[in-house]
Amino acid sequence: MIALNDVKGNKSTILIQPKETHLTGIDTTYGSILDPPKEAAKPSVQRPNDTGKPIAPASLGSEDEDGAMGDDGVTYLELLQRNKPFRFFLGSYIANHMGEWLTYLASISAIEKIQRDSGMETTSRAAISTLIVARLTPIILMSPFGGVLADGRDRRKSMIVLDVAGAGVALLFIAATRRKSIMMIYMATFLQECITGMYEPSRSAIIPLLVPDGQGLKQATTLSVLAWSLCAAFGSASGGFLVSLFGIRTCYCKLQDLVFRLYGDVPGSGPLTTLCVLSFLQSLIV
Amino acid sequence: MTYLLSALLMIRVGGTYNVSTNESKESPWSIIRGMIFGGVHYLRTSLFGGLVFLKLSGGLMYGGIDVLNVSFAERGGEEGKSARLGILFATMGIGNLIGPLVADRFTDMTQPRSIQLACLYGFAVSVFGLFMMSLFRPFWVICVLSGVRAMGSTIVWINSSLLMQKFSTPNMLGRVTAMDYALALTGEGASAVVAGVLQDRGLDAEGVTLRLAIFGTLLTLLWTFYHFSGKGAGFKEGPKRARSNDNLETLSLAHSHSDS
Repeated sequence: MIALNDVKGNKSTILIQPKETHLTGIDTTYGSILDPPKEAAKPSVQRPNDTGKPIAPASLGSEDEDGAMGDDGVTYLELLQRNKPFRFFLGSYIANHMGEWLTYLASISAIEKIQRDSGMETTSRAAISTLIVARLTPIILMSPFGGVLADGRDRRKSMIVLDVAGAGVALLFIAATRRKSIMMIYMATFLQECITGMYEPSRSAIIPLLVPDGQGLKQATTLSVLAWSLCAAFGSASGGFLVSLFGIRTCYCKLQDLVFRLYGDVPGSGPLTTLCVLSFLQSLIV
Repeated sequence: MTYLLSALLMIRVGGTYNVSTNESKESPWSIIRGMIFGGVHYLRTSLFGGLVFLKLSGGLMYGGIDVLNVSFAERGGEEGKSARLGILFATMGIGNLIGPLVADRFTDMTQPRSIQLACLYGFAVSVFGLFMMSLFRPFWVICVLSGVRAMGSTIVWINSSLLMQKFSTPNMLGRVTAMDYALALTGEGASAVVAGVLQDRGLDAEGVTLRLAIFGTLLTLLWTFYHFSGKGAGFKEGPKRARSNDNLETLSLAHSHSDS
């Protein structure tokens, strides 16, 4: 028998027995490594299959004989072809990341413009550094709460709500540029990154639930990281090239015009496709 | 609009993804506090808890690169600076793409040891890239080596995520990844600030890169020691020992507390 402080600071006692562990005072409501298997309360995970019908809880602790999740046996292409929910998830992730990226670059541009309009010849490095701090700090501070949200609520619904909140905060950026207020840009950035800090744990933690029986977990994780790095790296790279060739404004207007011409003639290309392509191109050139 | 598009696509995902088993009647704040401390407690007492520092180590090693890239791109004057920066990012993107695909061939989800070993190789590749970048000045060489370094850092990022996903129980994964992510960003931020300060104090980009490489070597050695002493997923007996709800973990907790 040993004594230790529980998560609330109270003294607790642990009795070590051969097969069972009894804890007193430790809040194990959300599960812990010390938990005995619970029968009464079970997590609710229902992943729809490709026909849209719900299927049994997917990868919750599905283990092979060795106690490890089964290895994959699926290729990247197979994962994308067969797993419709994961495809939508990946699309959502790319769109969300582009939104973040766009707002970040738009913030820098807005700060530069406001400072130029106020008579400064060059952009203050301190202003940009403050923006970077306003971006990093809330993510670090809000991540623990994001983790709680991911473990305590439906991860998909949390992501949807946070996406809508992100869209709302994006409106603040418009207000900030209209009022030419750098302080408002910082505040909007801070709020947006608070949302990112809350969003990211749900995004990461939903992946194992999207792949049935852990099949393709490695591929799914790799694809989501690749989508992130490709968006950032190739977005910046293409942006760098195009801007150096044409300049920001010309670049954006020409491409926008080109997209409308191309997609206006493609049968079946709805406004959503146009929006996707426009958003992507915008992320490339800003 | 991209946020709304993202929400729309998540609605199309469908299904329920709630892993909570909470039936508590406590106040929301005490639930949140309990869950945060529960997450920290979980990591502190589990055999794989140390692995949350993998991304932090990676972040400390490469966080300063973004600052250095600007310096590398500025060589040759203002004209073409954006294009050079673009090329640097593109080669990093190619490295990001190749690294995980190469590592994929050598890792096996049923052998967590291989995933942890891949992280070590990732560190080694990153350090190699950094050392070489500190030695050569031609822009095209810097681009190639940036790609090599990026290969390593993506290998570390992906495989450390896989380790977390493999070992964490589903109802803890959110908090574990939150911790992992927050630490990684802290590392990246700290490294970027240090790189900026060192450059402001007159050190050239090569000098900063060399210091990052030396620091990276120390971190790699530490993780090598961690791995080969059987910690994290470095055990040889097989994955049974790593099961996160084993009595073994309870015993490990008991030992750590009785020691203290």
